[in-house]
Amino acid sequence: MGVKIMSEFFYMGGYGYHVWGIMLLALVIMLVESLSLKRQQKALLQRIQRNKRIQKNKEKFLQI
Amino acid sequence: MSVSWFKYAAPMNFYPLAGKLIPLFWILAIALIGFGLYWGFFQTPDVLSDQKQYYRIIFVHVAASWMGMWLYAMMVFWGLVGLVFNTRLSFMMAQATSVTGALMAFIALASGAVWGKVSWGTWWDWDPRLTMSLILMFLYIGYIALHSAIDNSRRADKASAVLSLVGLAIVPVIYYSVNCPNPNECGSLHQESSFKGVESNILLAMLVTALGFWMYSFATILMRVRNIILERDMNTKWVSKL
Repeated sequence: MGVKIMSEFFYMGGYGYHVWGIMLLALVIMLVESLSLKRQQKALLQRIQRNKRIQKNKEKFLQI
Repeated sequence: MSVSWFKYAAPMNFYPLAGKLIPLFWILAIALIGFGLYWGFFQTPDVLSDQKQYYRIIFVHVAASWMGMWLYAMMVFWGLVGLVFNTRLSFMMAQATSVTGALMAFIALASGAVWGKVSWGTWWDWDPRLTMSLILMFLYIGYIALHSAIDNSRRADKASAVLSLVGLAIVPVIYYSVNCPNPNECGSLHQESSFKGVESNILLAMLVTALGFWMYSFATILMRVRNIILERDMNTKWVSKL
């Protein structure tokens, strides 16, 4: 019984591709956008840490 | 207790505040969209007026279309505030809003095309509302292109703010470009999108999903504005302390 309901659900009265296609498109766009923002943030924070290290080494070098 | 309104106008103060708000908006977005779609797929009739089950595209289509229009108005607002008060953070907010707005406009057009293919029999038609929504997406892309074309970020902000101001006229045109009470008179396919005649469960699911899209937009815009703050203030003291 459960299987019949499930397949009927995805069949969506013959319009499964249309409805689920759009739902998938929206989901993919939202996921790609948020994950790329997360990755961009990590890269920026790494760049900041790198700048700090370079700054520290430069100061150490100048003191000698 | 005196409230200093401009405290959060400084990127340095706004950065941690946005950081605290982002998880909250993410939780709200996932909860609302999840509930809205659950309600829309399981608690609603299989038919909306003469449309069969494919009407369920309405949940994503309406939410994305509203966001497309609202985010453009928000982008123009932040651009205007930036031009008037010359506050950098306002321009950053406008720039952060543009990308999410463009994606929402694209989702609205794509879902509309698929829905149109089924109910009207065509992917596209030079109908007033469809054409204006397409122009809205081009305006977003124009904003992003102009902003990234100019190296100096301050000049880029000002130029793109003025461009978005010019495009503001299109949002009311989209909204009102469907009101033709008698379909026989005007040849527009996209009828008036009114709530009359929409079954209450469908309406509830639609509104909750739209609210979820709002929360999603806030979350991504705040994330992007934080990245822009880091990028632009890379060499300042407070950023180096992060």
